[in-house]
Amino acid sequence: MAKRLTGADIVVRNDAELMTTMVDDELIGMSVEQGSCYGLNGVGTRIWALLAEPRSVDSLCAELAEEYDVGPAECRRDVLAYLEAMRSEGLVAEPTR
Amino acid sequence: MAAEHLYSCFDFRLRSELALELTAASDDGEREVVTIRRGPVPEMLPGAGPQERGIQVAGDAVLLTVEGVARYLVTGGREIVVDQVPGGSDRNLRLFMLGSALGILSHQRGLLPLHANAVVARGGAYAFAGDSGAGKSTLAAHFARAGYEVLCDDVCVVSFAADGTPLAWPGLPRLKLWGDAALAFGHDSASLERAIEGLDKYHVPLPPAGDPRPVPFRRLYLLTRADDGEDTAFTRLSGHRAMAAAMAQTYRDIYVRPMGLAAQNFRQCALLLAGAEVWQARRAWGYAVFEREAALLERHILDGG
Repeated sequence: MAKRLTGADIVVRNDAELMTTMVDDELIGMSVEQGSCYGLNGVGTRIWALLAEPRSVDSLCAELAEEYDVGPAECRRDVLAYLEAMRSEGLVAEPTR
Repeated sequence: MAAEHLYSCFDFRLRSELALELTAASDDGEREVVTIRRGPVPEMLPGAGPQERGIQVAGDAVLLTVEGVARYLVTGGREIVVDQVPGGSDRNLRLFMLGSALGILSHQRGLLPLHANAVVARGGAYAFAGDSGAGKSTLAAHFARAGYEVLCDDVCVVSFAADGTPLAWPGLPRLKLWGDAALAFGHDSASLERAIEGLDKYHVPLPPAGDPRPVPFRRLYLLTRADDGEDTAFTRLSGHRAMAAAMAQTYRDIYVRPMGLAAQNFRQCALLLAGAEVWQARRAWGYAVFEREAALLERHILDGG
C-alpha cells in the first residue's frame, strides 16, 4: 500500500483504466480492468476534469475551494479522502517521474 | 446438399440449412448474408482460454456449448455452424440458435442487442424489458391486438446511424406466450408451436413486418412490480441509473466481457442514452389488472411521457 497522499503530491487521472462518457451531464466511468461502473457526482466530475493534467493536491484543493464556496480545511479533508478512494480503485495515479 | 432458406433478421439476412421461425427474405442483394449450416464443431476451441459462462473465445470465433442440445460455433458475425448432440431435441436446438447464438453473432457484428421486445408507435420503437414474469410478451400481445406493429420479441437489436441515432430492427416474428396468456388472446395452444420442450410456453406468430428497415429507438421501459395498493408510477431514469439499466438489459450481457467487448458495449449504451430515454414503470401485475395497466402504458407512450 502506498503512503497516504499529502498536499504536495502530484496526481493525475488514469485514462487508461477508466472509460468515461457523459450521460445527462453526469460523468459515467467504467473500469476496463474490473468491469465496474462509476457514476461521478458534480464535484467528482469536476475533479476528473481538473486531473486531465498532472497537478498537486494543494492546487486542486485551492481551485475547488474557490469554485464550491467551502472552507480550505474542509475542502482539503474531503478531497484527500476522495482521491484516496479513487486511487484505491486505480482511477487516479501519481505520475511516474 | 440440404435445402436452403433465406430469412430476414435484424440488419442482415440468413441463409440457413435449418428451417427457422423467421420472416422469409427476398434475394434483393442489399443486406449482408450470414450463413447457418450443420457441421462438425469440436468440443474444445483451439487457441481458446478456459470455458467461461458456457462459451470459449478464440479471436473472432465463439464456441457456445449447450449441454444435451448442441454446440454452436459463431464466427466473425458471418457464420454459425451447429453440431447437434445425438438424440438432441430439434426444438431446443432452434431455441438456442435464435437466442444465445444469434445474440453472440449480434455482438460480433457490433450491434447492441437488448433483452426486450418492442412495438412501433408514433414512428418510433418503444421497448419493454423486465424480469421473467414482468409481462413483456403479454404486453406486446396487447399492442398487437390494438393494431400496433410489434417490431420484435425477446431481443431488440439496435444499430447506430452515422449521426448516432439509435435504430431498432425488426426481429423474430413471433411472441412467446404462456398457455393461459395465449388462450386469453384467443389462441388455441393445441394449434401453436411449443417454444421449448416440456414447458407450457408457445410461439404465437406475428404478422410479418412488411418493411425490413429499422425505426428510431425512442424509449426503453423497465417493467417492475409495484407493491400492493401502490399506484402505477413512471419514473425517468437519468445518468448512471440509466446507464446501469442499459448495460444490464444488454442481451446475453454475460458474454460481453469474455468476448472482450466491454468497451464496445459501454460506448453503445452511452450512444443509446444520447438518443433515447429510459423509464422505470412500476405497475401492478396479474391478469385481473392487465387491461388497465396496459392502457396506462399505452397512454404514457402516446402522451410522450
